[in-house]
Amino acid sequence: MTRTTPTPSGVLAANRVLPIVAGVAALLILLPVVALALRAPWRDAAGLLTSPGVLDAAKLSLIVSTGAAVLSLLIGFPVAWTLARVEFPGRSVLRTVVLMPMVLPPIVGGVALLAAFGRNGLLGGVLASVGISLPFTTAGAVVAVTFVSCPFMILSLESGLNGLDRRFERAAETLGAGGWTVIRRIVLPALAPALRAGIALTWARALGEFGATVAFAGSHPHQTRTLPLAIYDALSTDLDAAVMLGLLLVAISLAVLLVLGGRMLTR
Amino acid sequence: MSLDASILARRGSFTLQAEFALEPGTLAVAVGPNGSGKSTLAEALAGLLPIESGRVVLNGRTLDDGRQHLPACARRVGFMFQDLLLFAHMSALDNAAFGPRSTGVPRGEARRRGRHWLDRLGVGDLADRKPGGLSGGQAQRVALARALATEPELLILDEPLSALDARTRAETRRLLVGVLADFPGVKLVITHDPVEAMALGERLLVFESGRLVQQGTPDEIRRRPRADYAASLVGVNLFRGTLEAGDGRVFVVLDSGGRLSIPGDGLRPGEAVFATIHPHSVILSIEKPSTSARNALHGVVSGTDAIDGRVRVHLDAGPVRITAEITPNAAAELDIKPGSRLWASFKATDIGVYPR
Repeated sequence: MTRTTPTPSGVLAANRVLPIVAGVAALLILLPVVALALRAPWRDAAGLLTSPGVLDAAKLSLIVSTGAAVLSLLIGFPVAWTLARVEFPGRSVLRTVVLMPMVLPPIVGGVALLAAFGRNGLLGGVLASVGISLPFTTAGAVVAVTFVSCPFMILSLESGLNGLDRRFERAAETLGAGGWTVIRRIVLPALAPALRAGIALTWARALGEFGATVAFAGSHPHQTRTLPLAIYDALSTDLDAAVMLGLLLVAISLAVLLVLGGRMLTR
Repeated sequence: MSLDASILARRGSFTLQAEFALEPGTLAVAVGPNGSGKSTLAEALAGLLPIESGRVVLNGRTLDDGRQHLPACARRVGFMFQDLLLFAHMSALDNAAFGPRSTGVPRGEARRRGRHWLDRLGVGDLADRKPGGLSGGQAQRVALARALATEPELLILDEPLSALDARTRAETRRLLVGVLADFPGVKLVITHDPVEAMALGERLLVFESGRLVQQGTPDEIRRRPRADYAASLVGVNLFRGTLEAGDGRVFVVLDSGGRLSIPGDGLRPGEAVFATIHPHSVILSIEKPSTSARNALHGVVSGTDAIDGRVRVHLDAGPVRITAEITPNAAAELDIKPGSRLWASFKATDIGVYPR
């Protein structure tokens, strides 16, 4: 077999130039985080971080983002399976619809949720008649955050499903396994890396969600004021607190990325 | 208790056509070159490829009739894949217990069955290993145990020995023969290796370009091959022709052109026949042979193979292609190389003739 190799000098030149750009990019990303750390009132850190408002917001953030990650998983797997495995005419339409929240400005998503599920929204009456009211509740915050972060789960699972060697599923079928057994015992274990990546991405996106939450669920202490909302609130009143909260978010996000996204980082 | 199959199956532009019946207890081997349709056959039987028309009936149960396709999980057809496809996240035992477990057998009983088959195949001590920690031969045994633990009515082994090195292969073949002898259902081995097919099979299904071209016992196929691949399987020259009488002699006029002189007892002129000549009955010489009783063809050497200490010489003699088997010494004396011009001669009495 013959192969055309690019001239070595061309490759070497690109290999010298592009890493420089990559290095500059990494510095530009790192700079604001470092600035944040330098600006932080470390002396008051303990007091700021243990104030009731901060602890509340942190707890709420963990609840909302974890709830959104779980909900995204429950919705995301069926959607990803349908996109990856079922052939039907509207497949690209479905993909466009479920990925739309990714490109939609989050605040628009929040307003749209309000129009649909708000008290005077399209389905607000129906929900109220069965005793459900989403806006300005923690459940509402979970819905808003899920709306924005679920596409990350769907994308991750769909690419995971497309990467599976389906012969193993066929082997399981010849051993007598029906569809659900194949999914439970063959597909899900094989999908573990994609599941981990999906959860990490979804959870991280959920943790930082601001626009949709503030529009749909408002910023109520103990109910919907998650860390990002608390930061926004603090920006106008107590900049030191805002910076400390910001660093707290950075730390949590990095931890998630390192714990769950290990495979993504090292591949 | 039997398998009845009449299959028309399509995959892309490839079409498979085959009609055959297999009895339990008999080890059947489907053999053919790559792309001949034997893997497509295996998938159609296992329910991994729906057939277009025909029927597959196993012990009275219709598995497929071209309209209703019983899913693979309900067929009771065991399948050992060429690439084994052991589940990497499960131990050998969990792999072996997967089949029973999937069909509703309680966990403890499923594991007991899995362990029984691992023991039977001599890999019981590896029950806790993951497939990644098994050698090729060990993985092969676990895969076979996994297929057998489902207690299938039809067992298909796709290229069971081809992935193994020579030493493991001989050992695994012995084990395979022993285990298969005890297996009560219908059993079908898929292979591209003619030697393996002749050695293992009690009944052969010979495939060529999507067709089942011949079936029978190895002995039947050895004595009367009816297809080019079957002939190469048993290593004989196969010709197609029509009987003709003239000058007080009998000839086979070959479809490809040319004619062979044969002994003329009890044959009817005009009949379409096969003619076979074993390569070791073909004599090569540089000068034209003088004895008139011989058939003689003048041709060009197109290639040579070394097989078991003998040399096979392929000769293009105009429309006829013929293979001769000679000793390395003879090959050296004749100075044989591609392009050499030689005479190939053989006695009329060395030609086997039988109806098409």
